[in-house]
Amino acid sequence: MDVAELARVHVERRGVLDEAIASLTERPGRTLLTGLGTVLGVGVLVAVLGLTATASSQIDSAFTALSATEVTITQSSDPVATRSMAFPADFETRVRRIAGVVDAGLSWQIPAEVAPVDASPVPGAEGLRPSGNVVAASPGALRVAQAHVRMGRLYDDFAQACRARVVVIGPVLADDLGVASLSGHPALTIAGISFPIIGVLSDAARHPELLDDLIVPSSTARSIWGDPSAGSPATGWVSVRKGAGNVVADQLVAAVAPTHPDDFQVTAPPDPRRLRGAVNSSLQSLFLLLAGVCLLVGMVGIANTTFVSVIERLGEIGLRRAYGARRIHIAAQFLCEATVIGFVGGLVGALLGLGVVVGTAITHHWTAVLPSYVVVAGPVVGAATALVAAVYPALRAARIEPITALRVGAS
Amino acid sequence: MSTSTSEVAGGSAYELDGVGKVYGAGRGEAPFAALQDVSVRIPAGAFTTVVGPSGSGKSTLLALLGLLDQPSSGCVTIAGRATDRMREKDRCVMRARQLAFVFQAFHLMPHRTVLDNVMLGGLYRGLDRSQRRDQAWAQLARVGLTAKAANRAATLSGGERQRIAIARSLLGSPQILLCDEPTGNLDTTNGTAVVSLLTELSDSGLTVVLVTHDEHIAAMGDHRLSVLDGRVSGDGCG
Repeated sequence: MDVAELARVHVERRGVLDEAIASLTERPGRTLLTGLGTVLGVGVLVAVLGLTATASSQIDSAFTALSATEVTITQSSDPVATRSMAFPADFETRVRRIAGVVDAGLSWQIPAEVAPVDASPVPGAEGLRPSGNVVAASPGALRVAQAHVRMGRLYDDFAQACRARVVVIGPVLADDLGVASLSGHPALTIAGISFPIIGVLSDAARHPELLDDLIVPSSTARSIWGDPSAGSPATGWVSVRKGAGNVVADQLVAAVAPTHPDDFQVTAPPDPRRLRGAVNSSLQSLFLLLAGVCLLVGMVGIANTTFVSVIERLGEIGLRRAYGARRIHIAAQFLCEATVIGFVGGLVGALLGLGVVVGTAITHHWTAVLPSYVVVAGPVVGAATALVAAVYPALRAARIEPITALRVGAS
Repeated sequence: MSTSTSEVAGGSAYELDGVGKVYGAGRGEAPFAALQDVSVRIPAGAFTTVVGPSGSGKSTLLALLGLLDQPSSGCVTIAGRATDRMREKDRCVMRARQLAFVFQAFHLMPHRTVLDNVMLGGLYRGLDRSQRRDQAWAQLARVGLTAKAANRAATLSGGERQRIAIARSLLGSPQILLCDEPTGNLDTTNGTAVVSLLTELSDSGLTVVLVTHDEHIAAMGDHRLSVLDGRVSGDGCG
């Protein structure tokens, strides 16, 4: 037998894989516990990526529908003292000319000491002093707020033009006052002036704070109490088409006050993509860290178990070496076992993570969103981490001399 | 494989020239000479027994014969090929191609079936799965344990386990079978049965080297080497 012939022994790769699987299946309990770390790590990883993708999808569809389609413009506090009403009288007309604007309106709060409310005219509410604020709002502001009534009606542009002395109240106040119907023409006294209640709100999706208020036409408020005070500056509410928020925000000040732009502050809607990115980033960085820790724990577990396995199987290592196994075959045996554990653990973890994402989405009536590569990558990540974890113990096993392994293994 | 049993038959399976093994040398420990200046020839195709008391060095001798360890001095020649300058890789291949082992501790994998245990013997000898399976069945038939092929190794008796270990060692048709106290864990009946099996294998042309401390078993070989305090004497000693 020459050297060339000696080198010609070919060890079947499938045989090594079969041996690895056989070694794992003969100790199912240990194999299960060894793979648990990988299951948790990959499971958390898939769940995190899936949940953030699913949550982002919800932010896209729900958030943009309301918040991302409104721009607000407020008076700066300083100029109010000198120019009590910095908003031009034709504010709404100017703003509606901007491309992308759907509607616009002004709103401000009337201080309680200026406009005390007395509910005495309402039958059964004599002497009651409602806690809600009196708010001046133009009909356009009510439309921007997406205000709807459960009874009666909202005042319109005609009432605004006529400076009608009418009031729309919120549902809580209506219940407190016992206003179940408007057929008796109930009225409230505000600053000694009678204001018939013409409507009771049911909803104000964009400005739910209105549900606690008493709302009067802004023209009426101005005629009775004057322009907005320094302590309660006016706010312009502008509803815009989806995606037009930032463009409108950029043009708003120039349209409203081209000569004194510093008197106003514009609040643009948050960019949904930026918001989604922020949510993704904060959630992902937190949970990816958690997933990383789980994977690390899994790696340590696999490394530890492989070490113990090497010590327990010294006799087997010695036998394999005696039967012609080279060092690389011994290392391959342990690496193969760890990789199989990692792959199966990663697969199970990916399926569990997928289950968490789908379960959460079903519970919240969301649409589950999970990039397919995440599920496919689960077993690969599991196998790779397990492989890395087993490198050192596998090399240690390979370095053991056959005679040492046989002697220690037999003792 | 070019070196067949017939090629080495009639010649020497082993030639040891001035072989010594010292443990602990260079490690700050007191050196211990397990074997000293061993020069011996072991004929091919014969049943050679190595006998000696515990600690005499006979297992060390077997480890050197099996290329499981390297001598501190001298040279071990196997079937005409000197192994003193052989690379680790070639030593592995020579173990795979030509040598086989049976140990006192059996070294079976207890949770696996008898068939799987026997098939392991051919994995590193270049046999594919079907060849290993076929040869495993053939060797199980040879040791009379085909009926136990599906049993887990842990369920077998000591004598059966050693016969399984012998069957495992024979996959891939090795030329030399090295047995380290194969009857050490067996009762007399099972021990005798195992030695009879080894005798049959030797009669079929396999070189068998058996290490034992049992004089009765040592007497059953064709040739006998005695080891005492690291020195070897007997048939074929130079």
